[in-house]
Amino acid sequence: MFALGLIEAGAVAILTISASTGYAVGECIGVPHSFNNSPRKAILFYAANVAAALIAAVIILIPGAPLLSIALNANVLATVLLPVALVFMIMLANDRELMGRWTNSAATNRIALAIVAFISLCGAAYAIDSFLRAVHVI
Amino acid sequence: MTESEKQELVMFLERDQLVADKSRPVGRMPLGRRMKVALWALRVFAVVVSAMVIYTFVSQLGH
Repeated sequence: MFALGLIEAGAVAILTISASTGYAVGECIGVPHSFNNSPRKAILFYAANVAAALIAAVIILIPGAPLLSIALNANVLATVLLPVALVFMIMLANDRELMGRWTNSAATNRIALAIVAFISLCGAAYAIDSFLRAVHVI
Repeated sequence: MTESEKQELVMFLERDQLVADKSRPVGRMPLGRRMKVALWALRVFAVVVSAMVIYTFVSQLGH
């Protein structure tokens, strides 16, 4: 069951992480970036999508690659960077012009900010602890 | 055109046309001083802690 869970998590990650990479590339450069666009119209989006999946596949197939360290540190890095995306999402959710009657209430904002603070604290705590161990301070 | 007619029209759009129709450019948000300070703190946090994680990863590669 654990192995099946890992395979499922990997299958979902292949789709979501490569798609979000393609989306970010398209958004930064200002070219079409959606699965609703045809591959011909959004060539960079699809290329970045496939490239992200291929690069990840090549890295984990390197003989003797430290897979545990890669997985752990990639997840810590993702946790550290997550608050950036969350803060911008909260800002968008507070845009009355954009969200209309679904704009965040003050109570929702307090809960959201508490979650962001908790995630930031957890990510930073693990990252700082690992860093101090790496430089042999603790 | 009524709302139901608009929805019916959207159903007949090609996927590319649907993307173009749903695209809503968002203008710059006016930010107060506190918000700017908070966003700068977030930048510093992300850069400093990311550097720590990258250093940790590189140091683990040596073992």
